[in-house]
Amino acid sequence: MTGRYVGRRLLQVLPTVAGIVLVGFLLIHLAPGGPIIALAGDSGDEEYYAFMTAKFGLDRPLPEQLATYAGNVLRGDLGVSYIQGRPAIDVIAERLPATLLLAGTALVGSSVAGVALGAWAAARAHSIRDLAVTSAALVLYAAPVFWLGQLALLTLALRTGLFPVQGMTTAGGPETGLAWALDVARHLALPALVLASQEVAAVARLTRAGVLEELAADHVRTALAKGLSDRRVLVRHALRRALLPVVTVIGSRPGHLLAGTIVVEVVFGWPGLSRLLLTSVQTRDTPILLGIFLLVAATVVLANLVTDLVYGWLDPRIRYR
Amino acid sequence: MTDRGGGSAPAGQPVLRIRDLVVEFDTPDGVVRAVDGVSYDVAAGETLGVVGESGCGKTVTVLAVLGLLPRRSARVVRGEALLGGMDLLRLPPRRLRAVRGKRVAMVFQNPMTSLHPALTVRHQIAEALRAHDRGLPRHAARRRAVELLDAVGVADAARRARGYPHQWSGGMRQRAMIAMAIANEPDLLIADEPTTALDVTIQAQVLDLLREVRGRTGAATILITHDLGVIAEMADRVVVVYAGRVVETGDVHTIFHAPRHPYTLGLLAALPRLDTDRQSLAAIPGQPPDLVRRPSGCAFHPRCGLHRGRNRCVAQSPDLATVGPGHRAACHYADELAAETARAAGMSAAEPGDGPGAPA
Repeated sequence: MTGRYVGRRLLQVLPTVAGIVLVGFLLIHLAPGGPIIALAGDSGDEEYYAFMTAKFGLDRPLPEQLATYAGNVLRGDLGVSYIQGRPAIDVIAERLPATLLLAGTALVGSSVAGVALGAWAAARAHSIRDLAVTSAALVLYAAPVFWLGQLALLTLALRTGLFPVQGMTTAGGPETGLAWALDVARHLALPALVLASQEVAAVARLTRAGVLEELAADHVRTALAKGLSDRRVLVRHALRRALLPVVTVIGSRPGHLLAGTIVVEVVFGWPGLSRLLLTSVQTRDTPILLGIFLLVAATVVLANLVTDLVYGWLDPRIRYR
Repeated sequence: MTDRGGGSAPAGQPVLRIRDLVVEFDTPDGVVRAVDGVSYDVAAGETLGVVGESGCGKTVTVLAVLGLLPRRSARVVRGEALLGGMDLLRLPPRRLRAVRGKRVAMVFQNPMTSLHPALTVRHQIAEALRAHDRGLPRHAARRRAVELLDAVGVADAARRARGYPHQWSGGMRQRAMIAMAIANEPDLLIADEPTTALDVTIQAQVLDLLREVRGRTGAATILITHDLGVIAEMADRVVVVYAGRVVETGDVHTIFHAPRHPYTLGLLAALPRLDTDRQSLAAIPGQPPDLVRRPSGCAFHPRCGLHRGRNRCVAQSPDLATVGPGHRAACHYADELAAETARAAGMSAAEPGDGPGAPA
């Protein structure tokens, strides 16, 4: 696990991200329609259309537009939102924390809970309790997020009033300090739970299968023969090996999670990136769209890097190769 | 800590007594009785060789004693395994755990898979120490682990101990397994095919080490193997197992020179020899029995040269009967073998102490 290894992996990130920017740029321009119609409306005023087109530089040849955009990105400038007239990076940065909070909570919570549940079930494999957990995981995994979300809203928010129905904060509520944090946590609970449910199920099932396989391994028998407790053998010996495939799956989730957040953010009125993404697609707000593309791409690549590093820690044979 | 010069029990006293052990497995084909009334003792300072074909129940017996059988499919039907005054088969899990690795330690067959691949060798040995000594600080356990590796002949132990199993050769890993097994100075060391997975040259080194360890600790040793060469070199007494039953037991000299069970005789005849001009190996005809459909009477009769169609072999299971001083065999016609062995001795029996297992 050398610094050189990390450096080399980081260098591979650049062409990947560049490729994603290129593909995203071309796809957006290939799609019919454009931001001008969205901005200027259906008036048919050709002169006004031409004025707007020139204003955003959309009359230039595509390669030139691309080169300009790429140059700006390299300088840290994502352009100006066509619709809002503000720097795209500011618009995105405004929405980012809410999404990071929601997706991050779901990712961490589901990983921890999934691994714990999976190991717990494997330790009592084929018992009634294992069957209950495994079946529940399967149902959760099969349930669509929008349905789960609405179900949670109906039962836990509307019916009982335990949780707020919409948004991230209470209007007119506390704006700083612990009271604010608690208010956000109360709003966060349901959407995070819904978003995490599928992840929990996937992680738990994978962990259970991996631990079961490891529990039959020779090295586990050695550990038991040494006089270690079942619990220690489960956690320190079997689970450690079983985590390898689990880490791969968890590492591939940030991309999926951002997609999953779209639905959850809409259902729960969460003021995150996803709704910005939706409106930007409708209005062809290219700078915002490309900015979000870039962000998602960087997240996925970064998650892969972290996965590889964790891999090296879990299995020293990878580190020394 | 007591003086371990002669083990905790005086030499000659049984450390472990297995009595009428019966173990069954549930399989898709039905219930398999893998161990069917096995009894044997092993005494302090002694090496007991347990021989038999794979699947005959020799490993299952010791796994049952240590409570290491797969919990779902296997069960101990009856029997006792007495260590001191305790019956290990009826010990609550927590107390059995205190015995495992402390009073009874085990070395497994395949050192390539028996160590955890992602933990350092030092950590895995230190774990065995700390499992039985909660007060032992981590650094002290690590230091002791290095001393143990040094004692089993690992060169440059302090540096190598920080490595992972994949950086160690098979022979070195088996040394690490032995270091782990003797870490808590056990009264009984069980070695299950300790050299089977190793190169022939390494086999001899590991056997030397096991012998040295026995001399140093005075522990009783159970050596499980299918290799009569290993038995000849290592064992004081021998237990021959066939189809889950003990068919013959005696001191190593008697077993090699005057076997009274046709299966033992067959095993001896199958030994490859360098000092005869025999071109092919003498194999025991037939296959080891399918334990779901165990042959009636004596389980060996379908493969037995002594059977000669006699009804008693098919109808009645022979008991283990005394055929000489400290020598017992389970064959209805053990007497007839006396003549056979006299004839066969010249060409088939290996001398105890002949050297390591002849290369296959």
